Amino acid sequence: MVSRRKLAVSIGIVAVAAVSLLAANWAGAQGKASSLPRNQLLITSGTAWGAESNFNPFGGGWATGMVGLVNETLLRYDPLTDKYIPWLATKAGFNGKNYVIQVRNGVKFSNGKKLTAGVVVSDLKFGAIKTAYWNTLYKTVKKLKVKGNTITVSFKGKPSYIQWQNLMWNLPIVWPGQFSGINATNFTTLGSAAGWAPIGTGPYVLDTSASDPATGVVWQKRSAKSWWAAAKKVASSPAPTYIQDLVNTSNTNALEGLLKNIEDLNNNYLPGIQTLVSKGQAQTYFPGKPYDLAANTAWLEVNTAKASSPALGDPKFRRALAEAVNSYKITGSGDYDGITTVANQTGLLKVWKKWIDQKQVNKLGFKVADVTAAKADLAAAGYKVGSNGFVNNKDGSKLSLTIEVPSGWSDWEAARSIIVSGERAAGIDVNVVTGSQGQVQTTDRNQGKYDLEVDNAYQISDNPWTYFNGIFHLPIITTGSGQTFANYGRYSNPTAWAMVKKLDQTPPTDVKGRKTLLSALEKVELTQVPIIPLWYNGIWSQTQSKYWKNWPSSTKKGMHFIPCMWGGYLQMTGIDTITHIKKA
Amino acid sequence: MRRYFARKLITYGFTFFAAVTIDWVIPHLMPGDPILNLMSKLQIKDQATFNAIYNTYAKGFRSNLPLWKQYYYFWVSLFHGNLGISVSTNFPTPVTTLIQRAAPYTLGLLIPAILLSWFAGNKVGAMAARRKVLDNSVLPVSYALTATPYQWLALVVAWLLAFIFPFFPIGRGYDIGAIPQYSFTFFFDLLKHWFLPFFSLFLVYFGGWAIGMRNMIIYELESDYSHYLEALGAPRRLVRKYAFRNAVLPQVTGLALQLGAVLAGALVTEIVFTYPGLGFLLYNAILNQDYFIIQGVFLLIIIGVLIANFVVDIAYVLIDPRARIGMQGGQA
Amino acid sequence: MKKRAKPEGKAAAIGTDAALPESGISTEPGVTHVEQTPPEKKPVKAPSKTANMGAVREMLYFAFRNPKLLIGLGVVVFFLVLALVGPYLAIHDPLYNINGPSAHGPMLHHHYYLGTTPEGLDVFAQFVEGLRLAFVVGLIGGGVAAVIGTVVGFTAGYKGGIIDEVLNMITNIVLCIPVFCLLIVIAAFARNQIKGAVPEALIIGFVTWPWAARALRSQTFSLSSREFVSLARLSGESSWKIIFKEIAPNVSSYLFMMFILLFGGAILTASTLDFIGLGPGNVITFGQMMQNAFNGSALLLGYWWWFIPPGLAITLIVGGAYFMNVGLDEVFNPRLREM
Repeated sequence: MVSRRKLAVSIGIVAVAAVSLLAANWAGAQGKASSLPRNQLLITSGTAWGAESNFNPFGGGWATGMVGLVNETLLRYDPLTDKYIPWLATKAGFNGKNYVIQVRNGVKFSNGKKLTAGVVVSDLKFGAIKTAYWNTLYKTVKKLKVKGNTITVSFKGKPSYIQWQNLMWNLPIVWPGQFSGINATNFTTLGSAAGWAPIGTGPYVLDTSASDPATGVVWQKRSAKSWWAAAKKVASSPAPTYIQDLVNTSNTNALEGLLKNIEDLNNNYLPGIQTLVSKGQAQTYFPGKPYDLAANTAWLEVNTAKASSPALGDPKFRRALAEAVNSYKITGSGDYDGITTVANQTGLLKVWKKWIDQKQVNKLGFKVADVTAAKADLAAAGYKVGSNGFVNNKDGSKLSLTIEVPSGWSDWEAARSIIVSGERAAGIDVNVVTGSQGQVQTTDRNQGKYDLEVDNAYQISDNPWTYFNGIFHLPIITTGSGQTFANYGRYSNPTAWAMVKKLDQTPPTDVKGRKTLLSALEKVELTQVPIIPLWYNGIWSQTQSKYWKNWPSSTKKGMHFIPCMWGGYLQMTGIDTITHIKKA
Repeated sequence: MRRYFARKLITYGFTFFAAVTIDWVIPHLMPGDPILNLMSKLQIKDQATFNAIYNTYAKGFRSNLPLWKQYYYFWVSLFHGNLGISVSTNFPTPVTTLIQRAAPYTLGLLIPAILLSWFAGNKVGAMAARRKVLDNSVLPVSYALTATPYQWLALVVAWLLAFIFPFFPIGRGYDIGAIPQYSFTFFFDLLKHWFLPFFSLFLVYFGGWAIGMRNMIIYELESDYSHYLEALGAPRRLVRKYAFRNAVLPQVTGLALQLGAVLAGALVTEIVFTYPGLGFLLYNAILNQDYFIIQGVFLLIIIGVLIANFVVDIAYVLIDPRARIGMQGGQA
Repeated sequence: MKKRAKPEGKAAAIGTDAALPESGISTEPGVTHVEQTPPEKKPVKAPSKTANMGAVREMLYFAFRNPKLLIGLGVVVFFLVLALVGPYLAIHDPLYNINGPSAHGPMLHHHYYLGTTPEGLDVFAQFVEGLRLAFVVGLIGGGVAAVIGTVVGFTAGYKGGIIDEVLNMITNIVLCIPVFCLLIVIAAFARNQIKGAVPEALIIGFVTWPWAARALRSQTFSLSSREFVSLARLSGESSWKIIFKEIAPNVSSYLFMMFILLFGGAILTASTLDFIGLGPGNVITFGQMMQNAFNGSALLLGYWWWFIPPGLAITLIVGGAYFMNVGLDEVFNPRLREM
């Protein structure tokens, strides 16, 4: 018989062992304050869904804030006014066929080293590495000439005006010495090993003792005056001494974090924002519908090259697919209920309105949410309804498609229901396949194993070129990891791709030329339907004023910024949000 | 006796071998390729670059070797305590580091929950046996508890005690903003976050043990020796005492045999409470197709279950005189 | 028949016949839950036909007077009937009819008996489909596991020798490998193949049989050394005939109870798998309802009608089945009847 004493002793031993194991993880944290002072701490969330331990600013998986808070860019871009903001460069722009960059004087990295034109050139030269995202662009560079603080970039042949300008507000300026070991393999992961301390010119540095990869990264403000922008009065010094970005653990935690004042800024999609705002439990950029600015276009990605579903390669069939989706229902009911809006048939964001040839859209665009039109189009294209009530392939074989969204993305799962019911009503058999984000995106999407998939890969930017590059990019990689950054639909149209390249090489002064090309690209999109634009996703952003106030708002003058920590958004006007908030 | 242990050791040896082999097969069976997962973070624009990088990784992961060599090296690294690296968001953190970070949370949940529920369940179950009033309440409640899906009980417990009556926080191992350290405040913080997942696990486990004990005691009370004792005029209390002693032994075995199942419960409970233990690690690894983490966690679970089984097998022989005699009889 | 002192499975089988209720392993691994193995029945003599009739009548007599059996059976039958007639009561499509009000509590209006999800889906319609699939998974998953367990258990227990050694080794190995781990790997591997509840049930059946096999093996083992079996063997009957004619009837009650446990276990296992997102697509199961509710912050927003019904139904069905088992045990085993 087990004696009670023995049992008690063994419980005790095990408990002690477990606690000491746990404690071993924190051996370094002794003698610290028990927690960060809340009134000096800004807590954000909604960006990271995995460990925040990558401090490499070149990829996409870096700890929230790496680009913006630590590493800064030469320019910034404000999509609300469509203007570039000089940042680490006092001036940057095309001078004829050359690009001229004036590097700012008196900027110091957090390791004390000075920012020079040489540093910027070294960073640009990382583009020679084959997996650098600006590698193709870098190959067009003829020469990088440095004179004092001025860099003059000359190009082989016609410059890629749009791409180069885009790079200037997206390339993080790092201390090159720290990245001397970078190569094609570790291009986005060098800097994720334990003990890496990022070096940057920005207002914050890593707080190693408070950061925890699983909980979230903690940034500590650099000492007063050491951030150039504050010293030069380009921006005010940010108020929070610490910024902690929490790793998302679940939707419930995200919502709870906001309601219980655990988080100050939440960039998650949260169901029921409308109720929260009306009850005064949270604020958004717009006080009412649509609450948030648009960030990107959610579209139905169609695998146009899927051999087992030949219908997907037929533009007429894709048009019917598009017409069958009731986007009004997706945006107007259930989860979204007015916090998103139906996308234009081109899918171009509202900030690009001046580039949309609306007359052409009205003439050629598919009819949004029109099941009757979809049925008519299917019949006209030769798809006959079979015995099961669904249309068959043209050769009479059974036509059955699958649709995927990452498991647990509740708003997209709701949209999926509406898409499926619409397609079925039009006579197209669509079935749900479940899978995690990794399965749906990394495996099925990138490697071309899907039929239909909801996606929103391309964010707001300074030119719709980024959007069309995402749709028409060639060549298509059919083996290995497949398509990792563009054209997931495997839509092969060399003419359209040539136009995308030509658009890139049209100088900013030639507005008419750009408009003509964009209109032609839109025409391809409207007639060929390589992707099916559905709705505009918001820059989800809910704020709390218990600890920090003065958040950006459409109603306050001088506060028209983007309250968002997502990658790419801090150098838009996200950093202005940080520098403008005040202690409550 | 020696033969018995020899047999046991052989069985466990085989099981370990088979388990590790199955574990090794996991990434080979799972759809997708860990290297492709890693490479999806890079912008690769041509086939040559792809091949070059793929080969670099393949060399690093030894996946370019013939299968038998990969298998051999798996055992080698296993004995060096090397379980590979994370290939998703935690890249390139060693899996052992991640497990080390997460394991204490899981152990801290599991061990008290198992032991306390075992103890309490046995007590209550024994009390309920053949006591009509008590039995009528304990039995249905216990069956309901043991028939409850872990995740649902966790959801209900969280809903009641974190939202309706917000006594406890839900989610994470400790409060946001707290800095881990040896201090009473921090310990209390840990405890606060620990309680709900612990309580939810405790409840489910408790039901099973209580039923097991109750049924066992009834069998014992109806056995010949009990009737004989009673016929001799032994007091009811004494008979119950003997019955308890006999009945507790199979419960010890049950403790070990249940470990695999019990662990699964802890894993799911951690997901509901977003408690940063092995279950949560595993869950995220599944979501991100992080094969080496999945492999590492499984290996740990398998080894844990094996060791526990082995220990119980030995303990059983040591504490049960009948088993000893039985074995000697078997030897003869 | 080879001579060995004991069927040597796990610890519980070590003890001597007289003292230890071997069945005693009241808990078995293999399923995600703490399982109850039905206690072993000790057949005393070869059942003759007349005696059989009498025994059946006697059992029926006790069965109709056993409250545990009746309550358990009642609960299970209630849900079974609801699963069968439910589709006629639920008028909305469980997955694609999003015309309901957003996250409304239960109401009779428009037949949203259990309210709606934030997307406006009918929770009652989902519940009914989940209920139906729970029975499908339980019956198929439990059935497959029971068949495999029975075949392996009978073969190992009756044949003995090297066949027994090998089968026993396999059983022990599978027993030691946490079922849950196996299921996760298989479910992830076969993601695109799992398009409904049936494939999922089959997978569950294929990995949850070992404990049943082992329990049955020790039963068969002790039975096969009884006189009536020896007699049958002497008369030259084939092994399978003996197993089915002589041994199986003696453990039929045991087999039935084992199936009930496997049935409950399969439902629980499936609900957990579905909850962590490894469930089938295109349908809605209890596990997926709970997953959706959890992801949809139902706890925080207080949408209790979304996550309470599926879990409660599982608890009642499985609990009812287990409870039924206790009753059955008392019916089959006169000693256990309350005096």
